Amino acid sequence: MQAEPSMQELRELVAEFRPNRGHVMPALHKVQDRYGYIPRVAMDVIARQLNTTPALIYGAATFYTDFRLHPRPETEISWCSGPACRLKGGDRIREAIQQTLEVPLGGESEDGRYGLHIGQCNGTCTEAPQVWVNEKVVGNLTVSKAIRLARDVKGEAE
Amino acid sequence: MATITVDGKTIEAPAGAPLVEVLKQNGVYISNLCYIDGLKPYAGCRSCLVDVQGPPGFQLSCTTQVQDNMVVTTDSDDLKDARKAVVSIILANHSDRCLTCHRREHCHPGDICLRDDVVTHRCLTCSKNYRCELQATCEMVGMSGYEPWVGEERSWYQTPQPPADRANPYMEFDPQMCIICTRCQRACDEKRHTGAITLSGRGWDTRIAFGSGGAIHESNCDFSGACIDVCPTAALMEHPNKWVAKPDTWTTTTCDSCAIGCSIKLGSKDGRGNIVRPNASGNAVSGDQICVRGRYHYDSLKPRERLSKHTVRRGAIQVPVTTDEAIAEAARQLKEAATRGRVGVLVGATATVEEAWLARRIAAEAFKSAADSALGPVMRAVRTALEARLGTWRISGDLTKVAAAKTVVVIADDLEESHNVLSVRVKDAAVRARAKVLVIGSLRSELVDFAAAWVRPHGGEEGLAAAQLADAVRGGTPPPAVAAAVEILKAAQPGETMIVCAPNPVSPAVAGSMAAGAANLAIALFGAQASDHLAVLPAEVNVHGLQDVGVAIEGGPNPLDGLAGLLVVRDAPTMRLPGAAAALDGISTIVAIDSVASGAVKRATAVLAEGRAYASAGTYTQADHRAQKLAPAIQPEGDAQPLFQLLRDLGAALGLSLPADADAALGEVAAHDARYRPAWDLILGEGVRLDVPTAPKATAVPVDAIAAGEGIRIVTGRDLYTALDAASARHPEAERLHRYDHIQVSEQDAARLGISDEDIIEITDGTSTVRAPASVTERVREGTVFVSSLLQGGAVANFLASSVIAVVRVGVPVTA
Ligand code: SF4
Ligand code: SF4
Ligand code: SF4
Ligand code: FES
Ligand code: FES
Repeated sequence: MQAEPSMQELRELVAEFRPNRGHVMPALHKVQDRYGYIPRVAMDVIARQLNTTPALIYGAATFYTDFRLHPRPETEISWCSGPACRLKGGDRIREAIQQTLEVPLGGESEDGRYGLHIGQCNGTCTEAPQVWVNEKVVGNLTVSKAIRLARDVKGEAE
Repeated sequence: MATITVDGKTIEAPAGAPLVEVLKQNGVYISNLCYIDGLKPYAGCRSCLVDVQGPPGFQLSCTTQVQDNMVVTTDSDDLKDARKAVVSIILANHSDRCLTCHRREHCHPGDICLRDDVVTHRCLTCSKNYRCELQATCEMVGMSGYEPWVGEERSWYQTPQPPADRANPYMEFDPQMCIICTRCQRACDEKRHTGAITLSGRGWDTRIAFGSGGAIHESNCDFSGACIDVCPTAALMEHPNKWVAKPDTWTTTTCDSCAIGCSIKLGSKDGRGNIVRPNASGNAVSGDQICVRGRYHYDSLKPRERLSKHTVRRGAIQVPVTTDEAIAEAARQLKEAATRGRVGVLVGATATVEEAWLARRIAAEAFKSAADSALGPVMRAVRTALEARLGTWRISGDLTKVAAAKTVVVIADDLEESHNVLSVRVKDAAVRARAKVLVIGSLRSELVDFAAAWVRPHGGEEGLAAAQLADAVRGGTPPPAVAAAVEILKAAQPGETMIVCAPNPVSPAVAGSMAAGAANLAIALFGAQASDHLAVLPAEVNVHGLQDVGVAIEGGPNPLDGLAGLLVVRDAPTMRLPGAAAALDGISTIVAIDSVASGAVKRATAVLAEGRAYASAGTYTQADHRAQKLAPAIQPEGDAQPLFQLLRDLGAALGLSLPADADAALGEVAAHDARYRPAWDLILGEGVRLDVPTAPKATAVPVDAIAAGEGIRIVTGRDLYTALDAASARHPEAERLHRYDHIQVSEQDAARLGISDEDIIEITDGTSTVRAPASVTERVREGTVFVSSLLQGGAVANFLASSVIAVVRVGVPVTA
């Protein structure tokens, strides 16, 4: 996991943005692109740079699901919540993964090694039901395949 | 005016007014769970439905504006059903037994719930039971017998509720109780301009959040509690009184914590304060706002920590005595001291006009001396600076004009911290009136975010900077760094400009220079009308009242010099005057009247216990000469007596005949100063501005730079959170948030000196030393440190000899 970036580094990173509501999203994206998530201090720095409040930045960061407020786990499983996957038993896949990983949807392991998040359909429905492991599609899942996948991620011997 | 018909009744109302407000003012109940009077409607709760003839369907009364001949129905059966349906949606995601249980009026704490409700669902476990707007709304829309749990999906009971934030001393946020009406968010944004609250997430996950999503105290919230005032449920409540604020009496009185003198309602039970709310109609400057001090400092010390017994020193110990004995002994001691030399009288600036009047009469008639104050040197420096330029210290600027001004100049250490509600009014001007705000100050205050220009002089040079701007306005070529500021000043129009100056509360030299610079600037801009555009905010609530009755008008640079005896009337010399502790040790007779164990009380030969300002009846004269009334809202503890009574009885024991009560005293004041006549028969709660004519002269006098040595300068000033009385007693919790028990260091100096947050550091001038944890912050300019004027009982005063800017060495102590 990455250490929290310094104020100085963050100030430089967002120095190009101006007090303008239209700059909130680009600033958040820039921070997320650099660190993989939006550190808490970054919201304070962006707020100061854009002459607004941390609350406004936080509101925006939590409104759009593409922003993360915690560092990305080493392995991230995104479970597709789209209609095709769910018609083909996606909910059972989710339950299997949740129980094996012992984390809820939207949760992470305590050591930050792996996490399970909700994903939106990315159009590869032919491989439904599916998850993405660090953005790589793992499709045509069955419950037993899902359990095996989750065990691998967890690093358990079979 | 428009004429409308509501349920068959004819009502006159201003055209364009929000219908919901008109209905409420005319006694027609309408639920309005998200509307805040005076603010833009949010139209989120949809509970304010009415039927307006004409358009199809029902309308929201909060977004409907009154029009002539409008015909409104609020009580048809269809409407009632519609409102119930709306409220039932809100209830589906809220704990509901407190709202709807038919037994809730019969149950008492400790009762067994006859309905077998799970303990956490029970009505009595809600801290807002009986004072909850949601509860009242359920009652009024006819939902109180509703039993939604019968056969219904109850999301509230089915999902785990987020934990409450109880991590700060002032405000609790319990998201379980939140109905997402967003009133708090809008109050924080639109009334306070703080913007500490946001709606986070979306859809079902929408929640109220603070700052960047952490605990409240980690956000920029300044604990004004404006959000608490509007929250319809138990989601946001004051922490200290969340469970106990069931007052038996509400008293309208005045906050004693700064010279704005906000009007408050203080709730008390059995004579002890237990809640404060703003009194919207009492002070035209503060309106419905107060700050963290007004809301919470009624509780700055626990009742048992206040003085409850009078004492007389025998040898090394203070022995409790009766009131009569204490008065007799205090009088005897003071008379005896008077045979040996001069007896001084010090009056603190939270004493009322009436109390100060008695103290002044005691000083003059019993001891042939002039009553002074520990703040006296600062008061005189400001007065002298103003008199030299304007011919008077009574400045005529009206603070109610700040909120609507088009140009506001602020010359202060940090107005947000010293006079918080006025800072809100400056923000009102910036946000609502689109005013250009010019901030002159060395600290990066919150106002800087609202400023069109910020002039950042070196610590102690605020006055000089203002005077230089005055010169530039008069025609010099401004240095490029201040060109923007000069531009703003040159565009400032008479009648829509206010210059607000809050002189430093500790250093007479700096305070005088700030007042001088502000006066020069006002004169440069508005000539003979200068004083109408200037307001000078003194360091404590009743400084102007003290001066009006002649306290601290005369006096030397150190009021403790050359005394054989001293009477201290709720004053804190150890917090204000350099070397005061040693000076007090050298005075053989000290009679101290106070409600806390201040430095003077600890050294006193006789102590009279009093009940602090909230036990007083009387008058404060605040910054712009608005007389605000105090009414006794609490009882003094134990044997303690109201200050007025003690002074009157002490006067009697000294052979004087003093007025019997505060009214009679104010009568004497009015006879001596006719301006106080209106204050004499003032109705409680409604402040009145005393007559202050435009100043008789307007002559700029050059402002000299104050000499300062080489080194890091101390910038000091009032912080927002520390309680004055608790600080004078050096109470460890005088500042409960622990934001200002630190020494603030600039980022640049910290990097140079290798200091990080929370390192214990030391500042020293060779004689005095203060040690405290460091806080590294951009608030402070390079080459300065900020030390709150109330840190460690006012320790910073010891660095300030009367005419220099304090310079210190800063570092990590060798033996940390
Ligand atoms: S206490 Fe005041 S500053 Fe804090 S969130 Fe509430 S309204 Fe905003
Ligand atoms: S905390 Fe109170 S005021 Fe704020 S949204 Fe919730 S219920 Fe409304
Ligand atoms: S602004 Fe001043 S008078 Fe008003 S509540 Fe705060 S301390 Fe009290
Ligand atoms: S629904 Fe899962 S990929 Fe489209
Ligand atoms: S008060 Fe009108 S919608 Fe809430």
